[in-house]
Amino acid sequence: MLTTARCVAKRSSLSLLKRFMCSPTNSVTSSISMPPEKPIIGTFEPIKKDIYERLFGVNGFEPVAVELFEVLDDKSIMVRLPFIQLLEYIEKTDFDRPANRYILWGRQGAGKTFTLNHLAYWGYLNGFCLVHLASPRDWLDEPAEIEVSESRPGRLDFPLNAALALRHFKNQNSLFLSKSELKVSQKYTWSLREITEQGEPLVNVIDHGISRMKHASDCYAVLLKELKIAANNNLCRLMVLANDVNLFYKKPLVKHADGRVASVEEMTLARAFMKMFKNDWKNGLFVGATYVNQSHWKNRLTPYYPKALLTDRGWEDFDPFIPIKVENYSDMEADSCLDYYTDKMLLQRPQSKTPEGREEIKAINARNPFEMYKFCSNL
Amino acid sequence: MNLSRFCVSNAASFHEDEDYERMPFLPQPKKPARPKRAAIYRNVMPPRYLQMATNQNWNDVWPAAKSFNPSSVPLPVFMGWLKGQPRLGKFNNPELVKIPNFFHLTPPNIKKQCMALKKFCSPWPEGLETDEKIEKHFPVEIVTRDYCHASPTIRDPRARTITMRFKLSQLELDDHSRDKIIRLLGKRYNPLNDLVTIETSSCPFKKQNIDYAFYLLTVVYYESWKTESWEELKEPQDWERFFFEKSSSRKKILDFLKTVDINAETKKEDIKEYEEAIKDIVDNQENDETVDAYGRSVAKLLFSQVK
Amino acid sequence: MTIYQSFNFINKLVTKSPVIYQVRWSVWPPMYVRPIPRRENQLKLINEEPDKFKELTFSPIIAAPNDHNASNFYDPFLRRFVNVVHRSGRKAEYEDMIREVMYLIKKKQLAEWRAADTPEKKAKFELDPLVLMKKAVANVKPVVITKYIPKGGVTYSVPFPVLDKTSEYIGMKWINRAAHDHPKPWRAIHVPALVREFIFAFNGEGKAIKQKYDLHKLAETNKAYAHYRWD
Repeated sequence: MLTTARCVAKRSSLSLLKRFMCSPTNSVTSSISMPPEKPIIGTFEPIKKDIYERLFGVNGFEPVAVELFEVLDDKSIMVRLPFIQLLEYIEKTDFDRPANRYILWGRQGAGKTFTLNHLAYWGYLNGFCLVHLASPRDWLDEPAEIEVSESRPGRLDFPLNAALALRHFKNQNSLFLSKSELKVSQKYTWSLREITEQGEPLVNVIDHGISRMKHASDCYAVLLKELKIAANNNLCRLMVLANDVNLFYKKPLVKHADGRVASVEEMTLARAFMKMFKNDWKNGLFVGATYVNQSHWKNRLTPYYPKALLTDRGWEDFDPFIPIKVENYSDMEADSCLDYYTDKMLLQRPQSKTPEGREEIKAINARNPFEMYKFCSNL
Repeated sequence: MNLSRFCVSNAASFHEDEDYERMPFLPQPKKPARPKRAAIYRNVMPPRYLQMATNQNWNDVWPAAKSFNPSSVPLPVFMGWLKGQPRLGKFNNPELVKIPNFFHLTPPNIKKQCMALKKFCSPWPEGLETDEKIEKHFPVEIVTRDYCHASPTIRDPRARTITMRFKLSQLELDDHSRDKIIRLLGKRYNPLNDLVTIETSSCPFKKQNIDYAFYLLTVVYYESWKTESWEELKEPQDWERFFFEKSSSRKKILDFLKTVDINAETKKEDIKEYEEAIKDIVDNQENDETVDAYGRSVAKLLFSQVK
Repeated sequence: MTIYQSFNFINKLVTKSPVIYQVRWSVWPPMYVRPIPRRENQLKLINEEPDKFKELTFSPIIAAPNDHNASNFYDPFLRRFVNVVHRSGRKAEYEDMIREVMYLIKKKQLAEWRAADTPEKKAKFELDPLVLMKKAVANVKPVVITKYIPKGGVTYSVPFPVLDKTSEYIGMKWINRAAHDHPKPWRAIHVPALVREFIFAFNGEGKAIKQKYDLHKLAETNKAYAHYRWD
């Protein structure tokens, strides 16, 4: 089968810079079209190209998914039950209460990241302020560049990754930032000459971080803090989306200069983000997706349940949360998916269009979305 | 003296002297066969069991212990196996004779013997009719063994072993002490029937062993009520099972309800459901059902309204 | 009947002498029958020869090879290609590689097909990767081959006819070898090279096709020596 995304993914600082440079500058959109009233399970909801660029241009989908969109020449996500469930929960949420936390869990390839991104799209269209972390692996395992923090001794900064995260935030929330007026609540001194006064717009912090990469990690931490304060003051509606949330509770691979393995608390970006896991803020929601690697024979039996993946520490942090199961496709969804692939000319062999062929595809892959895609990619 | 023996006689007179013994060289003429005695066929009576009534008094047939008699036992008994042959029945089967049989101890027989012995026995104590009552009043059971040999000595080293049995539910224990006593007892405790079995043979005499068993029981009981200082260092991961009262989950959910201005008293069932759900996940297995139950209970609490 | 003739699956070395010498044994006892992995062949047997099928109902069966299966997507062409191309017995790896090749072929063709405006341009692209690979091999198959015949101290390249099966083998080998012309033969480089070669061969260009034309040309020029075949 295809080599997995992680092997092929290029995480070198060069490609990171490239992504950073090539991402579009913020531009105010034209009209946003509202999605239909009640989405139907099994249908494909397309993402407009410009919105896709804005939301996921920097970071969002894994390279395999990006390739999938390229091959199909269409960026659509299937509407599935977990997404509908989340929408139902959001509908009856009282935003004056502390933020609810939802964890998407399921097998590998079941569609957790896709559901998360679908929710990001929905949140974007409905005026939420998005804080989206697509791959914490960039912060915990392979950051492009590691520097010792100047403001807090003993902590590690990742300038390039932080700048990318700030850029990503700016892209996703360009519309929102232009409309709303979020102000900084206190004075921040970056260095002798660079100060952000109280009452300045939040955009300044972001821009400062993007231009001065040295302070980018601190800027990101400040950004998250200010967003929390703003949400608590009813100035914005926040949606925090964290992919691969259980990686925060695994031992990271980042090392200090002297060879010691760093802990999550010693990394500025990770530490700042983990503060959003608590429910001491209101006017928003937190959705996290777990990550489990079951691609090889040796790790095919790793448990994919939330408590096992989050470990005791993560459970302590998140409890009480609402776990939402992301299953493999149902029969109807699998049929819909195969119809979609046939429509987009991914399925070329004539046997794949016969009923027996389709039954075989569904049976061999146990209707797992990712496996089905891998299998159909060479048919 | 007959000199004719030493004289050479001519052939004509050879056969006339019959003093020589004849050597039996030539085959003798066959004598007529003796008439055979006629075979006597006696009528063998059919085995007795064929003529037994089903409602007969078995005690009359088999009043005391005796060896197996196939024609008296009205049962189709088979014993033994030889390769390539059909099943070996009860007739001409020495195996059935070798093993002990208890045909003299059928319940009616036993009852008859008990009734005969009854007048020599004292009555069964009042208040101990059922097993539960016996357990209540006599919780501890001591099993002793005596051995008899057909030999000059009466000694047997196995006679000093005693077994003490009692049910753990008879002891007054709280959560912590029950957990501790079970750990201390180890294999001596059987959770299936709640039975503790203590077998002692370290002392030379039986009575000493009984006293030692009671001593062990006392020690284990009082030890289980003690809490060591290092037990205070237990963390939630070390708890024997999930204790909702001590857990942070309870604190968090109550904090949440307070933040939202809902009286926790009104939500008692929901909190109980939440407690059960977490307990299921932590103590038992985490699977689809338990996680779903947890999700539902949390949703109920997070979206709960003031009534 | 001699004992040797009773075994069914021995390769018999047939010499000019009347005695048959056994060369290779089969691990399977003689009552074991050949498997029929494909569903259509099974149905054919059931429908056309029901007596034979009845005989086979209780006979033990030889294990089918690992690369045979009853899948709807099984293709003997792919199996043959993997057999021809693989090395060191690592068939599973090379199977994966071939599937990757098919995916990349499809991806490339789809991209170009979508970019093409007119229907004539679109018609040039074959989107089904298996059909494309078959057509590519068909394009590269030689019709005649030459063999070296030494005669009188000189070695001549004599044109010979070639069986379809052999020529298919040669075509597949050429495509693989054309893709092999890169610095290191590891998978990340070999896969795109194979993709490139296949698409070239499908369009009638590339190293493999050139090899075929060269061979045909050689056969044409050495037409005069064709009678050396029978020397």
